[in-house]
Amino acid sequence: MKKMASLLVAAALVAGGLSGCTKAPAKETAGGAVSQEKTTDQEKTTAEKENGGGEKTPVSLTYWQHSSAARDEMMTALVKTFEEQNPDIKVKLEFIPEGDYSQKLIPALATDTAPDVFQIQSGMVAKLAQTGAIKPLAEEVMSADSITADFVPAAVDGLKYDGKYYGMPTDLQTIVMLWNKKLVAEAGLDAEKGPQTWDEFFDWSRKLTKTEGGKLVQSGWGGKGYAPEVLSIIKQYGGAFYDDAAGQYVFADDPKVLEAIEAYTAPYKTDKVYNTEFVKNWAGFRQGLIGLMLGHPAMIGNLPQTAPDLDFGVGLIPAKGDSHATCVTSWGYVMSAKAPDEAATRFIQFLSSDDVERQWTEKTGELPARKALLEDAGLKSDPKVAVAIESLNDSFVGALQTSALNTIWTEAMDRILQTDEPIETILKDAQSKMNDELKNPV
Amino acid sequence: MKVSQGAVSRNRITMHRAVPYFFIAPAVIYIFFVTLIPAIMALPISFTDWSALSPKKNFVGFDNYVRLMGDKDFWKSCLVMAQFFIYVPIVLAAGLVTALLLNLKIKGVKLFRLIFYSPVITSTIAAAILFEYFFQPSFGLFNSILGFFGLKGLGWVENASTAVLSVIIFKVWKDFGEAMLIYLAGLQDVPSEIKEASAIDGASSWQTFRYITFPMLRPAHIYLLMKNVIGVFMIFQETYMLKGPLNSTRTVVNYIYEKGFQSYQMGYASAMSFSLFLIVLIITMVQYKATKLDVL
Repeated sequence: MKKMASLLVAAALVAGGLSGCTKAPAKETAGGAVSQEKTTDQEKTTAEKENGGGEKTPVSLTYWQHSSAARDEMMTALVKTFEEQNPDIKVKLEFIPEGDYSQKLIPALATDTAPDVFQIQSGMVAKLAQTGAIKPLAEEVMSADSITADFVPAAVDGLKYDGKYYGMPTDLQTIVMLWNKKLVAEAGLDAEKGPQTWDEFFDWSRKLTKTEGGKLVQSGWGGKGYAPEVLSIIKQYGGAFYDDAAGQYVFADDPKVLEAIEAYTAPYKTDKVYNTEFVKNWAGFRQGLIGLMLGHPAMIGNLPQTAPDLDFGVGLIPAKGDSHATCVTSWGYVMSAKAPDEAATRFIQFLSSDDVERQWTEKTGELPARKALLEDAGLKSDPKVAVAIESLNDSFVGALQTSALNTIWTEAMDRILQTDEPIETILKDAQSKMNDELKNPV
Repeated sequence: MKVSQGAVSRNRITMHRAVPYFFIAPAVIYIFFVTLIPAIMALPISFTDWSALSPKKNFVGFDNYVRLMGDKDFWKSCLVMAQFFIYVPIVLAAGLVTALLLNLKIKGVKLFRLIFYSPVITSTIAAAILFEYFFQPSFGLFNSILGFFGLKGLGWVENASTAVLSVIIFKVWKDFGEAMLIYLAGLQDVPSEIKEASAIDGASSWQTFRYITFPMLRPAHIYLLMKNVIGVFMIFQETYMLKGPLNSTRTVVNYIYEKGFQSYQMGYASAMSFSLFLIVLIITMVQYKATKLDVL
């Protein structure tokens, strides 16, 4: 009897383990979020085509995005609005933690089970377009001419491949300057205006740096070579980072690039305004230990929540001459090769519409990509947000918008800042590795 | 129809023998589908240029393995991984010392066993985030402790020369509870009569430990040694979260992840994975033979 009971328990364990292997079809819940519930319905997770003649069955779209509390909440509400406006389309949402996003997306792409609409880093558009994993936006819904006319060039140029737009921008960011007003005022500097040029910026960073007994106790500027910051100063110095015609990185061969990087790194290496062993830069800025930072406009929304006592100013990235040129980074909404063209493009069009972009800017600090919104009085009523929006007027697409390229760049900047190796050698090494990445067959 | 006594007896024996297999079946099925099959599938993929961005694969022969031989970054990551072997004797020693203390009949010993084992069941990611704060050079716990004793603070994870040490500290904290548990079980098997006899013969506590207890823990030593050596080859989460500058903590698995999931060179990543699998297999077999099969 005991043995029979043991056998039954063991069989139940085996059955339980095997049952986990079956795929539970996704089911749409209220508001559009997907839950993995078992159902007897034989629902497909891919979109269904329209029936010819008679009543149209709703087209079903699956959408993935990398998750954060604010974005998830917004997207759930937006999808509800979209479905009300487009009763012939149903959207199934799936939110994936950012750390797991590419690990989930890549196997889906590899096995042809990718969602209909999803987000990718804009630097991935070319690779995915080459493999045929994504396809261009439906011209009859969003024409290339209308996109070119209506959107900030730097926001959409990175989503173009072979002359066609493959997606629309999201999570659009530039680089702006932030400063701790209290520390700046204590140093006798203009806490309302901030430095305007790079020379002023580097001068302020030295004046805001304090040491005690040879140990850093206040950092003037927490810069450590974040790619969009460095690309911005390189652009302003007139350096060539990437040759579009040749399809190659060329930064190691341009003396202006070297000049820009030497200027950027001198405060760290020579003036010792910051040290990574002092404090993590954004943590330090929040704690009032760092005077100046360069960062994304998203920090304008983030800092009041994470450091409510911090009184900070926001300005355009410092200029060389008249140019406050700033690097744009973004993700893109794209559609997979098997997605229904019209429905998926309509959803992407909705997500990049005037009204939706306005909401994203107001609630999450993401920049609008539409030209019309750059002069929107409502959005610009907050002076800090107004600066961030203004930064788009002199912006360019960043050339390092994939994880692999960023990893190579970070390694190069670590070597420049923390070793005595010649900068030229480090840049040549980084350039070679980046060009090798471009050669990878897809 | 009457069933003979012999037939009933044979059925019972068969069922009795089958029951253990049903109990181990879930784990075996899991390992088979989640570990073994993917490991075997890495081999054919390693002979392709698969990017994982589409199902398309082209056969490239041994190109990936030839490339591996000349890849300086791969060999650098092997050197980084080699530095972590120092963690093995440290975690075993920490586990053994704790087990010896918890083997004493003192009040609250069960609570201490729970406390010391709790890091093992804590999420590595969550714990690493916490340790990131502890390792903060300016305001972290560890530099505060060093400062209390008049010692100079270290850069910990932010410094290339102390980053590996930082990860080892974290990993020892995380894993010593498991070693403690295995040694505790082993200590229960040391007959008390032998220890009492040695005490009667005049042996000191240290001599009893050195000549009786420690040798009798051999099965535990061997199991923990093998498991933790394999664990060093598999280090990933800890070095992914506590990343030192200048690739000072980039292990082989971290490098494989970069090549597979960031550079989309899944064919090359598979070649590295399979090579690592073979190295681990060879080392494990050498350990297995060197420590003699009977203890397992």
